[in-house]
Amino acid sequence: MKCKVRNSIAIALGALMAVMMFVLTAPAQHPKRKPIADIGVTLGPNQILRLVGDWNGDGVADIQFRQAVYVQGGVNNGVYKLMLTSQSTSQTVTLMPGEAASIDIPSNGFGVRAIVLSDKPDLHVNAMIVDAPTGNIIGMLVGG
Amino acid sequence: MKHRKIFSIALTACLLLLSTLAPTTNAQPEGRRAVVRTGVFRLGAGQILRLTIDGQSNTMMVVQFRRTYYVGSANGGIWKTTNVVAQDTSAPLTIGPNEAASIDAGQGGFDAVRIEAIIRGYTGNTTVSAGTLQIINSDGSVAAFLELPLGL
Repeated sequence: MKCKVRNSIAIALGALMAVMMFVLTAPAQHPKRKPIADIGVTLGPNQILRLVGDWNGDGVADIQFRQAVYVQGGVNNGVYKLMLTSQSTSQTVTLMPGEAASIDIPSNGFGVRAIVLSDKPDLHVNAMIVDAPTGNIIGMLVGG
Repeated sequence: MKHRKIFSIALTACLLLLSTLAPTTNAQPEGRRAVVRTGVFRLGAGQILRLTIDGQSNTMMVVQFRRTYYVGSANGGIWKTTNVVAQDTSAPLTIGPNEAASIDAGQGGFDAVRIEAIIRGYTGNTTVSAGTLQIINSDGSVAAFLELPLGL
């Protein structure tokens, strides 16, 4: 009888451990890529909008850059309407912890807009305006 | 004998399970901890990234800086880091309420750079933004600056 009880305890503990190990190691659902940064600016001649995303969390992070170019449309009481002339989305880049990826968007119209898409909402994104001839940064925004 | 063996296995399994669930405790200085990250910057020739942490009201805190240097390459219009080439961490520095600490990071032949400030031991009650990030041109002029939240 005593042996049966011990056996039962052993089996129960084994089962509990197996369940816990499964819970601890079960792969998480792969979340969809969502916009995590959206920046629109008007650039001067020879200026570039540069976005840099860097990943310092656990596992890997997917990152994609979407860019849109606008031209000025009609003006009404000083307010310009901007019209989309082109839009494209980059290939997906997979970042390991500690890696970064960036895109340079040149000034091809009145304004440019860049959207960073990722499956990790806490991926860090910086945006900067770069003077193309010198490569110098002349403005920046730091994301969370 | 057989039952003793089973019992030993059960006991070992139980201890193993407990060890996975037990919280890990590390000796940390008293007070709150925060990490301020600049993110990755690809600087122009001669430009430097400067991060300054200001002391907080009525309390001391310990600041440590970590600089990371990258190289990378472009493919299809996307530049990506290929390697962390170098990383250095400064010695812990204690700063008082009216003091500050800063560090510069130039690219120095690398492709990109990043700074982290690790703050420990903040025991104050105020919550303020007291980190400043600057990009300095080779002639010493400020190209851009902004305030970073400390998250304290």
